[in-house]
Amino acid sequence: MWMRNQPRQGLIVSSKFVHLFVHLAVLVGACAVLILATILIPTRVQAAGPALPSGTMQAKAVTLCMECHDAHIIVQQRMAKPAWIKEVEKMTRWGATVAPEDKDALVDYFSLNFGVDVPAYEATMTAATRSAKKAKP
Amino acid sequence: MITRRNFLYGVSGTMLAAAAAPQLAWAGETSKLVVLGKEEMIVRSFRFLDLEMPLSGFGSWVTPVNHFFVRNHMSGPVDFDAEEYRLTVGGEVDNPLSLTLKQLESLPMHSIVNTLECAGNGRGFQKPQVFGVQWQKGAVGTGKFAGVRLGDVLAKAGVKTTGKHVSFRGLDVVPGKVPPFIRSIPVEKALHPDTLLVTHMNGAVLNKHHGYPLRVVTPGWIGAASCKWLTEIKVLEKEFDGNFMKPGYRWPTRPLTPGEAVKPEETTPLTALDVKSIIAGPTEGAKLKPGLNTVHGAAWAGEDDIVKVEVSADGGATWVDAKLDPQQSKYAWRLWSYAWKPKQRGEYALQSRATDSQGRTQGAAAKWNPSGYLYNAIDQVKVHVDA
Ligand code: HEC
Repeated sequence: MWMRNQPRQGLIVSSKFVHLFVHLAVLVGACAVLILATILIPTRVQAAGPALPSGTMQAKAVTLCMECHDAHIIVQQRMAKPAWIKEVEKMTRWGATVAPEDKDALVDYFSLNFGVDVPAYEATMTAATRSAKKAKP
Repeated sequence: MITRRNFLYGVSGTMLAAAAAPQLAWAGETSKLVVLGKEEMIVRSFRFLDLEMPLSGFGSWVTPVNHFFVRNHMSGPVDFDAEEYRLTVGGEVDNPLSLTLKQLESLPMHSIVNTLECAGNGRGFQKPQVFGVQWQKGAVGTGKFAGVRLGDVLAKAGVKTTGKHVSFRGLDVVPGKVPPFIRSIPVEKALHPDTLLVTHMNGAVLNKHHGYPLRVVTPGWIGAASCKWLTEIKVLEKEFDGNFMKPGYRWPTRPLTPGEAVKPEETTPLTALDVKSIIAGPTEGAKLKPGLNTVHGAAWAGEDDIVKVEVSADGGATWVDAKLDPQQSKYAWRLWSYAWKPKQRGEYALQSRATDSQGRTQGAAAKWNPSGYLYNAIDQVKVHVDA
């Protein structure tokens, strides 16, 4: 809504030159803010969950493996390397754009951080909101 | 006067609400996830949303919607338009249909109480561990589901004699090259009078997390047989064979040793749930006082009835019958309780074991399978009794 209305308002009041200039500046500013916001927002949404662990493959794993889902589904697994190879292959078939030269390092990164001997992941809880008190079966 | 600063906040605030989807928000940096309509659920995944019912949920026979587990393979519909919505019925039928919600709702309504359980419930207890959502006890819940009979809709379409299986597809948004979530059930189960196309759950219109406006409920079967956001029904000559039927949701036709691989030919699609009981209280590691301590939980057996739940307080050496709660309905779990009175202090291993009307019972270990489905080992909770 906001995105569509704002530029129109800007154009309607721009009958005078000075105003046009001011409004154009506001428009440009608004666009910059919007671009900034769209860049920032995916990060906020991704942040709704655990982070992938640090390591040389962290940045690539974030880009490749958090496109469709967040990190929850990854960090709760405790599997050995042969299983991680199959999993990365399955996700690649499903659309993860893993470059052939990155595959081994990515598999090592996941098997090291989420191998069978790593302590279990502790799940978090969703908040109790106000509707909890009113809840009926 | 709008300063640049609050202008920015204003924009990102609105955008955040929109981007984070109407039902979901992140409440501050350190606080908990807020999922509107869901309370104190265990977060197995946020995107896609997988929420597990906490143990307290086993306290009521009908699970409140705000505690009902959520399982998604991908995300549900984003821009749903009830006016545009149609349910199509095609394939091996005489009259293909395209129905509006109103047309569907003009058919007679029926309701059932059904325990819905994800086939992967308990996967987190499998040894050796397997890939998938690491559910513990709560990917299960019991709802009152109301809607029209799938059989009535199929009768309108006229199933041809060649029609042997019925497949379902929902409005799920399929990411990348992920195969769509389509599964089929045999025509006999589809025509069963208890198999419903559901519009209401616990007396209210279906919540979006549970498949609004329409979902299948295939009673007594694994949750994956109860497709959400249903939009397409196809009658097929053969079982559907896409990813979520094969290799997904299959069961070995011979016993496996834990960790053993199985050939695809040695597997068959999962159908009904197995017999199972869980202890909801006391909880693992609880410190109790000698005297009366009620052990309680739930037991269910898919299409079959629970006939007995036994409890052991000595790690399975001796068993006593628990009391079954009188509330019952075909396909619904039975709540049970046992008045346990430990006299001596010490460590105890409490166990529960259910038996169903087919004579099936729970074993000390679950039947291991590579995807960790239908975990139903005897449940165990270790507690400490102190004076
Ligand atoms: C094109 C979308 C997409 C991308 C990209 C993707 N995944 Fe997935 N992933 C999925 C879907 C869909 C599921 C199944 C979700 C479900 O059934 O709960 C899944 C599930 C998983 C699971 C749970 C086990 C399973 O197979 O169901 C793991 C682990 C996983 N992904 C890891 C990864 C890793 C590692 C990457 C990066 C190499 C990745 N994913 C990239 C779509 C994707």
